[in-house]
Amino acid sequence: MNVADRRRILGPLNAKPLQFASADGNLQDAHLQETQSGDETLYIQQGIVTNANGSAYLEIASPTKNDQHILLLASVYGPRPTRGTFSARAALSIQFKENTLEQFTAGEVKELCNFLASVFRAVINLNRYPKSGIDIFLNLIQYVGPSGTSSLEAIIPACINAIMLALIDAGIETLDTVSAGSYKGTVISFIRNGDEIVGFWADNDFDNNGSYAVTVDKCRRHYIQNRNAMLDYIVKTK
Amino acid sequence: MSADIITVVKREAGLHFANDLQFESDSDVEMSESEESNEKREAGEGSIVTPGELVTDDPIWMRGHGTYFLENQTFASVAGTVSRVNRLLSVVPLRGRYSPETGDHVIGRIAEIGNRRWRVDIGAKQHAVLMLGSVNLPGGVLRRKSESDELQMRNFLKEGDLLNAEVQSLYQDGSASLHTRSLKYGKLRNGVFLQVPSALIVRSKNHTHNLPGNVTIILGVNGFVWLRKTSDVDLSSGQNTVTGKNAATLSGAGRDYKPGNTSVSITRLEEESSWEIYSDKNDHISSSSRKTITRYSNVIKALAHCEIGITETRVVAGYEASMAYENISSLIEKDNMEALGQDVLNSEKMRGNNQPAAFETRA
Amino acid sequence: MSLSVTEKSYLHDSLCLDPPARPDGRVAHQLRPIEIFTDFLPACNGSAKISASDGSECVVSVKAKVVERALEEELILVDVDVAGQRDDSPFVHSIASLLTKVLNQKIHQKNLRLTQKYAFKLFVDVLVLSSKSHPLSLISFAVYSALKATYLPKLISSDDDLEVAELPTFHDYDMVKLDVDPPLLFTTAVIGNNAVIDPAHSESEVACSGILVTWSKGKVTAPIRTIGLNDEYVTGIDVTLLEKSIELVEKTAPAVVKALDGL
Repeated sequence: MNVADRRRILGPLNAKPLQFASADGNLQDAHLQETQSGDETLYIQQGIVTNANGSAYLEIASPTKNDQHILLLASVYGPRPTRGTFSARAALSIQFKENTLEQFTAGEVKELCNFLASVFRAVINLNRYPKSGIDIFLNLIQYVGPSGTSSLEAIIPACINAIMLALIDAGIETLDTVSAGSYKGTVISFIRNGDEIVGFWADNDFDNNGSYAVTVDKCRRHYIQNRNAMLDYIVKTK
Repeated sequence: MSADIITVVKREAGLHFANDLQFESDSDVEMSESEESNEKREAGEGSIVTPGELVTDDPIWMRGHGTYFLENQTFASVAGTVSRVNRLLSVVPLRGRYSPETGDHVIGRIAEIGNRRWRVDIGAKQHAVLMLGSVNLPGGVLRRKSESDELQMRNFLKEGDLLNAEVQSLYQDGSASLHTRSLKYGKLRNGVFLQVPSALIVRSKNHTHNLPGNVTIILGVNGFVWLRKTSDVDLSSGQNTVTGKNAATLSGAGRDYKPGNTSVSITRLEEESSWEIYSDKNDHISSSSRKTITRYSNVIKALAHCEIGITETRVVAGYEASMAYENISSLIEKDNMEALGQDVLNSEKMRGNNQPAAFETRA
Repeated sequence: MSLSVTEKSYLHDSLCLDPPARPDGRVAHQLRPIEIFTDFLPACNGSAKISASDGSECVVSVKAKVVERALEEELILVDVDVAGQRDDSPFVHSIASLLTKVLNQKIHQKNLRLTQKYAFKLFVDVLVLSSKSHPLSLISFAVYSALKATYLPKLISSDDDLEVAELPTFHDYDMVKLDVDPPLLFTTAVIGNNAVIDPAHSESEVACSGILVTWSKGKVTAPIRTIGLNDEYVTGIDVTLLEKSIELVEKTAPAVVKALDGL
């Protein structure tokens, strides 16, 4: 007995080590979807956070853009009752968190949340949910930007797409399937087949030859790709 | 369109210190006056006093608002004018929040819905209370308020809604209880709201006026002002009499809930106090009416900027004077506002009618 | 303070007219008159106080510190304090973050360079005393005026100090005017088919969308962003309206720059 290692907590004598199930079968279920949208590969899975009302996991790999890689999880809690004063429409809150590497400053994260909230205020039918609150949490699991850089613009489309998918999973009423497209650092979020803008974010100047119209057009194309991929997934899995 | 895009005024260097002002400003005169009266140990009716200043050492006066009593002497506790009514001595503050009095015609905004009552922001120290029993409800003015009315309170008036009402009574703590039991009171529609210091509004018999240009103004005693397109009700009610002629259709007819629709209507009045009075829909307002309303609103802002007491005649005079400025947009410039205020005062002097409680301009 | 339903619909209908009838009678490309007061804080290198006609007020101070260039990433740091808002509220945070980013992007580091080794770091402190509408535009005007009125100590030691271990020394009282061209931020509101500049509180309440447009060195530049101005009326906007807003700023901005510079 005196050989027992007292520096460790060994547990009871009859303890057995944990045994993990072998990972060979049944992982690929119907909820998985891999879509090629343009030069990006999209991997979508809904409903993986069980205690949330709706969730979506998104993986975006773009081999053409210097191996940009984004793993993102969005979860929606609500509509759930709020306390205090009466409000005729639901209160929306969006929180963003980086789970692994913190690449963005606190200020940038707040800017992003504000922007996303303004996009989804225009899209979610908040009038349907008086006296309630909808809380959306975004977890950026991994983000590898082009050649190691990090820029907020790159993840915004993914954030919008992931939230939209999570909202669909939660069954919350929206006016349209919102999605976003980006082109050279400009992100535009559209609804109504690209006729209306709900969010515009340009932190870099437009191309000197490509002006505003070209940028909008490129973003719209990217938006349609993204939206179609999302719709495809929803139609196929449901 | 010669309107400037923006006016930027550079303030002259240096902060204005209070003692600089004393040598420059005209208010100095009043200061010395009150100091004199200090020697006489008496501040006369209408003179301006500052907090802590001796108003009188005669103990026969009853002490009203804005004063305090110490060692047989009465001091002012606010900056304002001395008022003497019979034996009551009080100081009316120059600034400060509106203090409601019974019978005041006020405009308020619903702040909160409570148990059988609405709490109304009227710009006073406390929210006023509007009891469910003090409003006209659809289906007859005189019917009893039922439990279903209690549950539907937000359908009548909800947070943010504006209404005009009369102060029915005051509670012990000075807060007001309102009522809207007349067709001239109720929810406000078809117009814009603006707020001026309540001290600028002169209490008078009538606070609703039909102005030239098909615009009606409600000058709430609490400094809340409502400008709207003149409606049939305004025209027919004429001078303060409510005939309650409202030809508008029942917009709320499609609602499934209509309290009192089983009861038999006895008078015409009851039919008219229908859902229509709680409608949230504006009538059609032409763009020229909208422009006139905007012009009036800028005129009132200019009068308030110049600290001129706001009365119907002054608003009309200001409106006429403002016609010199073709662009309504130029009326937001400080210089033009001051010029307009001067015009109003000048025209008043020429006509020679002395308005009650004529406030002087700051300039 | 929220508006009533009828007020909102009146405002909305007025602003949807062609041309828009704004609640204070302004034309679409007209800003509210402002009053500026510069150089009044004796302990700061530059300061400005700005007050708008609706009672919004903003104070900005600029303070400088000598730093080693190699150690600092950003030479301008903006701190924002809005009365009535928590310091850690997303609104205040995002304004500070945006301003820091824009100023660092648009003001060239060489303007703050002191010697080979050292530079000035500017601390821009913004205090919004009262604001009825979105304060960003007002803040940026105040920052602009403050930076234009900033004087920094005059360097008297040599500016080539790469090899020498010596701190820069300054003249006892001579100051040099900071020569920078700060950006201006404009907010526009899109309502119906109209875009109006510098929306007042009541206009923001019924706007379909707000757009933030940056003006720097004589042209519209990034960042351009949509900002949510209210909860109720926000909708998607037509693609052309965004362009209209940008054109509106292009039309207005030169006059604003001229007015601010002409002080």
